[in-house]
Amino acid sequence: MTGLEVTVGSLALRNPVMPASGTFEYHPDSPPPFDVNHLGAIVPKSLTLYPQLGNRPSRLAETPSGLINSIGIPSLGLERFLAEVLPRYEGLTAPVMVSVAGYSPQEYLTLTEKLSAVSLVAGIELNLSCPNLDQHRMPAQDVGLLRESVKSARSVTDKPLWAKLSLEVTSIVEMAQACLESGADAVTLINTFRAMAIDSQQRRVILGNGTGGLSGPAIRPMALAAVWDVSHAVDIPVIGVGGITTVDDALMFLLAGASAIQIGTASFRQPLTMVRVIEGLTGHLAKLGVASIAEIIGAGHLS
Amino acid sequence: MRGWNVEAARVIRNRHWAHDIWLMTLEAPDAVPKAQAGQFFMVVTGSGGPFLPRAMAPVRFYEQHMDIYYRVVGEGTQQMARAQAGDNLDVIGPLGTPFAVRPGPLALIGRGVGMTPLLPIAERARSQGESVRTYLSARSSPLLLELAGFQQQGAVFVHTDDQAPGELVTDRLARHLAEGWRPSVVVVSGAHRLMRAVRDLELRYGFSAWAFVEEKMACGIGWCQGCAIGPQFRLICQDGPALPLAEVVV
Ligand SMILES: Cc1cc2nc3c(=O)[nH]c(=O)nc-3n(C[C@H](O)[C@H](O)[C@H](O)COP(=O)(O)O)c2cc1C
Ligand code: FES
Repeated sequence: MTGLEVTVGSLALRNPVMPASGTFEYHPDSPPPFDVNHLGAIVPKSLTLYPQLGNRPSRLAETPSGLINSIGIPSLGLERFLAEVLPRYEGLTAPVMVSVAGYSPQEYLTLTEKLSAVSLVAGIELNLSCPNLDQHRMPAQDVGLLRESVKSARSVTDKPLWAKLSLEVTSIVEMAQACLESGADAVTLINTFRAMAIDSQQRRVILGNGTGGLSGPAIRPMALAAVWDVSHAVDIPVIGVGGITTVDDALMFLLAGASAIQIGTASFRQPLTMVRVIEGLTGHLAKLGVASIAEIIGAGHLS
Repeated sequence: MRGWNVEAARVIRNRHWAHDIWLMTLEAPDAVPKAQAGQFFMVVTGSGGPFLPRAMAPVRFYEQHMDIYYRVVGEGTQQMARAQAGDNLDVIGPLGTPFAVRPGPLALIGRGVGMTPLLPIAERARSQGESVRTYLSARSSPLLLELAGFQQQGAVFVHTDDQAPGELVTDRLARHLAEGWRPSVVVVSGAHRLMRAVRDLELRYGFSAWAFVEEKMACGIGWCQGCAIGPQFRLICQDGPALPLAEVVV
């Protein structure tokens, strides 16, 4: 026992820190310079049902305190993921939460069903910021599609099911409530914000896709408010994500009510960020003489 | 197995070289001995600097040190230019796929700071007993970086814009090819115009051509997939930074 153990719904994690989907890769042939089993969980890049290449370059634009990416979802597709990627995680003790992106509720269902059948898969995170093929809207921005997508996935798995939401909605509380009612075990808050950049000298739009998603410290206060709002209004565990870079950031999200946190963009500038935050949390507990991180979760209060 | 790490490198020297080019020597005892020709590092500029680290291809690795020429173009490199001897800068690396030197004569074509990753390759080729010809191009002669270093490895042909405007250094390579010289591998770095010229020559003479390419990188370690290039969206930081020229110039 380290005091960092948390649970997200029924899923027990050795600590509350994990990568955000799309910002961390694990390959045993070129492992990172830290033990990945020290992570609370592993969340790979979102997977689609069929193979796709992702968006055309350029895919990155830098802003003063964040990153705009238009990676899209380069994906090997379910079949090759099962055959080639999942076996890489064999032998790891950190639970693997597989992120999936579907273009229809049926695709979320198929992905969830096939993946849940694999014992290595601890659970599924639904990336709901993927445009629906018929309605050209993202489930994360359309409560009807959201319910349908989450219910479809829920109908085929008993494993932990997390719904990842966007804050670009009228009411994040309403969306989280819909996820709860549709059977999600937790909500992951939040995905990136639509953004763009233009090179004013060359009059050229920087991203090949035109627009992308903003992440990093720029979105941290908004993500924090989303975590606060949902955890105070909806009876569902929250995984907080958005700009978390330091132990202090992580503590803010836990205090606001997050049961766990994800770190994305910060890992690009400092690939050791996740393990440093874990060490920092241990140090924080020791300094306060607090036995368990559970005492910190949701302990933030109005003055 | 490729292993990278994060290391607090110490600035040994950092000085203005010529025009907008600076030269920094970093000491990184863990990372440098592992670095091979063709690899690069991500240099993390200090707080107050830009958000992302900057990809840098050292011109020389020796013992625990590496020399990095960099062009001061924006916030990140301005911040690097302010670093003083004794300061620490985090470096992530070594990164990318080392450049495997194959048998046969080698031609290297570089322009400006883009020529820097070519010197370790020239040295590697010479140590394997291959002959090397280098074609260097710059705005003016002080920017023909490490000329003496390249000359130690074989014949060097240079071109500067101020001496012969309108010409390309690849014109010399074209002449050598027309005269019958046959490199088996050609590596080009630093200017898209030179890459296009080498691509034309590649199609005509059939050597194997490689290019060092630059795209914005967020991580350098294969985590973000932001550095994709070419029709197959290969990742520069993983499959490169040297990639087959045909994939880069379409
Ligand atoms: C390069 C990049 C790729 C991403 N890819 C995905 C993805 O495939 N699926 C997903 O649900 N979120 C993806 N995200 C969003 C992150 O998981 C996260 O929600 C967001 O970046 C905010 O966290 P951060 O500020 O810590 O990065 C991506 C973010 C970045 C920067
Ligand atoms: S720069 Fe991130 S994958 Fe290449």
